[in-house]
Order: sequence, then C-alpha cells, then structure tokens
Amino acid sequence: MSSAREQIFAKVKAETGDASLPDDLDTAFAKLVDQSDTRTSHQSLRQFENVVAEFEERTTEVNTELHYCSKAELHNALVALVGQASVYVAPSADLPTQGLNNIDDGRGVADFALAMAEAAIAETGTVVVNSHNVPSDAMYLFDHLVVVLPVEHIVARFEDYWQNYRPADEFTRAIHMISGPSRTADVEQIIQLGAHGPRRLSVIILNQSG
Amino acid sequence: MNRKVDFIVRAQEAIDDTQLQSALAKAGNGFIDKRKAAADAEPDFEAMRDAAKEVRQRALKNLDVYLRYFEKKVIEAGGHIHYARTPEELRDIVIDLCKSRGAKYVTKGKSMVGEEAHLNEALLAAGITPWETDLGEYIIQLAEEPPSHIVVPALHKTRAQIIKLFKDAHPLGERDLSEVKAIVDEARAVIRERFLSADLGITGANMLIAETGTAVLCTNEGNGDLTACLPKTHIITTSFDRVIPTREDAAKIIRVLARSATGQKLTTYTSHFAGPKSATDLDGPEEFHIVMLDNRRSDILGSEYQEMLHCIRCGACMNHCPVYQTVGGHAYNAVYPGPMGAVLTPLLRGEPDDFDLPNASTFCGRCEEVCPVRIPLPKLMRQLRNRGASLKPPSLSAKLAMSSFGLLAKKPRIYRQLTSLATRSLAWAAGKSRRFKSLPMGGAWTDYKDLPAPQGESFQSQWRKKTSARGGSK
Repeated sequence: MSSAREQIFAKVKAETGDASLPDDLDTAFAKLVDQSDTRTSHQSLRQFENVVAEFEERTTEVNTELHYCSKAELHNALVALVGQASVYVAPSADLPTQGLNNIDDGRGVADFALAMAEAAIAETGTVVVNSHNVPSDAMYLFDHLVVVLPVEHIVARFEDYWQNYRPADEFTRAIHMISGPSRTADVEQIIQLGAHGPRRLSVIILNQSG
Repeated sequence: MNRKVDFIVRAQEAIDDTQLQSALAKAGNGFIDKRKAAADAEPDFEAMRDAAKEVRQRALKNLDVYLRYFEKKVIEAGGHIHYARTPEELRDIVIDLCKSRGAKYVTKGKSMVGEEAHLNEALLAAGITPWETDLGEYIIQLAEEPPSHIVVPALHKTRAQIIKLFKDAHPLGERDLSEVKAIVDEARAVIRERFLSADLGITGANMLIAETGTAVLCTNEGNGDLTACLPKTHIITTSFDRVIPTREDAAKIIRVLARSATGQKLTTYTSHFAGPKSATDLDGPEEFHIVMLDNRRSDILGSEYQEMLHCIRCGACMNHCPVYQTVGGHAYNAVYPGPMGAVLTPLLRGEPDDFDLPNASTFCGRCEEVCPVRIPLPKLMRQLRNRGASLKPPSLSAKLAMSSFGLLAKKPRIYRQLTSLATRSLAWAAGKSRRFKSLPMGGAWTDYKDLPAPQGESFQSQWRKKTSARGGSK
C-alpha cells in the first residue's frame, strides 16, 4: 500500500507532470524559473520618484514613529528616545548603547528592544530583520521596538530586497518584515494598536553624512 | 412542520438574530470601502492582480516540480515534511508529533486548514490543550463556536458579547472592559503567559516558497511569530497547493493579499520561516514540521474547478457578497463561507446540503470583480449547481415552476398575452397608490419593501408602436 506522500505525488504528477522537462529536479526547477519573468516583472510597476520619501510616507501611514540622525548623533538620539528605561539590545546590533540601562533579557521584561535593520522596503513602509542578526523574540516581546536603519539600505520593492540582500542559496531561518506596531481589528473592526507584538515602533533613519 | 436545518433555515435564523445583525451592521461596508481605497491608491493595482493570478496559474501548471523542490529545500534546511490525504490523517500526524514531544499545551496561530481538519477538538480529545492566540480565534474558542469569516473569525460577535466572554473566562475581578483598548490589553496579558510557556506552536501558512523551502506567515497581531518562534517545536498545517516557485512570486501575492482583505498595503508582520534554528541563527525552534493536507485538492487539480485552487484566502469575496453580508458566515455551516466557500465546500466536503451553497447566490458578480486573482466564482458556482442537481434534486414546486416557465418561454405569443394580462391586473389591483404593501405569497419581498405596480405598457409593445410608426422594425 503506497504512502500518503506517494499517492499525493502520483496524483500531482498525473495532472501537472511535464515530460519535456529534464529529469533532474534542480535543472527542471531552474529551467522553469528562467522561462518566467518573475525576477524582473516588478520593474514595470511605477517607479518611485524618491525611494526614501516613499518609505517615509508609507511607514508613517502605519503608525511608525520616524526619527533622523547622522551616525555621529545616534548615541544622543538613542538616549533621547530611551532615557533610563530598561532596554534589551539585540546582540550583533553594534550600536552605541553606552549609558543605556541594558538588560540582557530575552523575555519581555525590558521596556524597549533595540535592533539594527538589515534593510527596508519603501513600497509598504517596512523594515526587515533576519534571524542571523536579531533574535526573533526581540522583535515581538517588548512594548516599544526601536530599529536603526541606515538610509542606504532602503530599497523600493520586495524583489529588490531579495535580490540585493538575501541570496536564495543562503539559508536564513527567519526573515521578519515589520510594518508598524502590532494591531488588531477583531473587536467590532475597530483598529487597536498594541495587540501581541510591540505597542510602538520607532525607526531611526541614519543618514549617510557623518 | 419539522423542517430539516439547511441553509434556508439557517439563513432565516440569521436574519432574525438581532445580535448577529448588529455585529454585521458594525462591519457594514467597512471592508468594501477599505479595499476600494487601497485599490484606488495604487495606479498599478490591476496589473498587480494580473501578476498574482499569473503566479497561481504558473505554480499549479508545474506543481509536480515545485512541490518536490519545496520538499527538498525543507529537508535541506533541517525541517520535516509530512503528507495527509485526509483531515483524519492530518489530525493523527499532529497529535503524534505533540505526544512524542511531550507537548501538553500548544499555542496556535490561525490556520484555516487546521479548522478544516477540526484539529482543536482532536487535540483536546487526545489530552493536549490548544491555546488560540489570534484575538478573533481566541474569542470564538471561548465561545466554543466555529469561525464565521476566514480573516476575521469573530466578525459575528458584538463588543458586549466579547466582554461577557472575557469576564466569564478570566477571573480578574471587577474591571471596566467597555473600551476596545481594555479588551485587547487583557487578551495581551492573558495570552502573553501562554506564548512563553507553550510546549509547541502550530500555525498555518499563507504561502509556501519552493525555492527556499519557506513558509510565509502574515499577521497583524504578531501572534503568528510568537507561536512560531518561541516554543521548541513549530508545526505548520497547510495544503500542498499553496506552493509557489520563488520569493519574487510570493511578493506578487503579498502585494494584493492585505489590500484585498483589509485595505492595508501589507500585514504588520510578514514573516518568512525556513527550517529550525541553525548554527547561524540567534534563536528559533529546534524542530520545524510542515504537514501538507490534500483532502480532495488533488481531485480539483486538473478538473474544471482548478481555478478555485488559485484562492489566496483574502476574504474579499465574502466581504462584498450581499448574501454573506445579510446572513453572516455560520449560515453556511462550513469552515469556508461566502462565495469561495460556496465553491470549495461542495468540492472538499461534498455532502448533499453543501450544494445549497452555490445556489445561495444571485450571481451579482461582485465576488469575481474583487477577487485579487480573478477567480470566476459565479461560473464555478453555476457548474456546481449542475452537479448538485443530481445529488440534491430541486423540490417539486421548484421543478413545476421551472418546467412551466420552460413551456411558456418556448411560446412567445402566449407568454406575452399572459404577462400582459398579469401586468394589467396588478396595475388595476394597486389602484391609485401604484404600489403593494403586501401581496399574497409575496411576503419575502413585501415584508421589507413595497412592490411598485407595473405602469403603462410593456417595453415590447411600446417599441412595436414606435417602430411601426416609423414604418417598419429595426
């Protein structure tokens, strides 16, 4: 008696099998992807006049609080934002956190979490972190999430992020695309910020000068 | 008369249910307005819909390759992949995994496949406690009810009902829950404990990406991620037809999903998960399992209903459906309600009463108009009506009415004479008021609005007069 896997695969093959494709799975897959225009078709979508301005508009729409500073000013900006409240700093954040009330705690006891974004996507006002650089729970367990984003890492569209930052053959367990603080509309469709994830999201855009 | 409970009975009960009608009124045209605003804000929206449809078509066309490649990548990433032909097999697989990992308490992100397989009941029966974490799912778990919408499961609940559920379930003493913020804060506190202590987490997946063996999870609350990342084991319940080739393909679907569902450009948290924690990750579960359900989807593949597999579960169709707006989701008695459920339920479950659902439509076509992947829902419903006619034949009175109409329609002169007689009688009966506030056997109409009486001559006779006056027809 064949297994569930065999039966399902046999049915899928009967309906969608293509004898003209190479036998080798990797080659067949690559051939199919090459035949499609999926890598480039997003380029026919409207071009943003200014990618950073687009990001700013979209991210403000989703209740993200935006700040700007230069690299030199970053420490002051962090102190101004966090003050003496407790803060969990994501390892490998490589941020100037001296003098802040660092708590090395991964379970939501601190008031703030602080992390470095890998990139940001303008079309939806989204910051992106991944599990190589940031522990996943840091993004969700703290009331106020602060993300530092170098301005040169803002790209226009999702496809640009994938193609410039995450090669497909490099394994990444988790990639988190975050657009604002958490929210729900499950009570009478009234939007309420602060569901299970952070109640507030602040993004500090680091401009290139200094 | 002891009438069997079918869609018509449930629909009437729904119309008479004042609390349900109040909840539906609160939803009102909100989703319709939000989706329209999102579509209008995007000059490329129609192109985005075309791109999403193309992805779903292309994915199914060579699903054989993409499914096997997806499996390969999941395994390379250190994950496990299981196959379930039936809901029962899915339940067995998940329960086995829970038991062998000693899991007694599991957190759950929303999974429609999980609902389809009635997973929660099975877990409870096996001595495992599922804790729903999505606020809507949590509310219906407390109410012990099934979801009434695929995106907003507690759409049918009023604020007052939710407050009562919370007060009964949470022993937190006297407190004021009249504000939405207070309700959400309480849910946050109660469920936060569960995220931190769960033995295992079960979520669904919005998309499966073959290229990287990735599951994509879209939530606004962050509960999906807390369920997926905190416990030692993460199980995803999904179906094999969700596989798409690349991350760029996922982007095409992501672009239309939230816009069509809630009018957002993107769900707050859009996460890509592949495999368990590896040496290069800072955290993550030790085990990653994907359970792929079939449940007749492999029969739909290659059939005249294949387009239904394009569905990305946005809920736009039910948001725009006048039938759904009037009776809500429970009247459908199915995990998938509204227009997409009217097609999917007879195909996946196929009980005779399920064929009521494609009949519960006026074919107004709004669903197809708003479907992000352009599924021809009315066409599929019409096909199902034909199939259903043999399984659940129409009533004698319906058959008589249709065959009488059929006879008359083939005899145009008699048809015209009879309708002309009928319209003149109605006009005479209505008298000066020119409308009917009530009509024998017309209660379904006149209970809610007046029926205007026919006035003057029919279009046909006016046209004939006009064209003969001009000296000949056409």
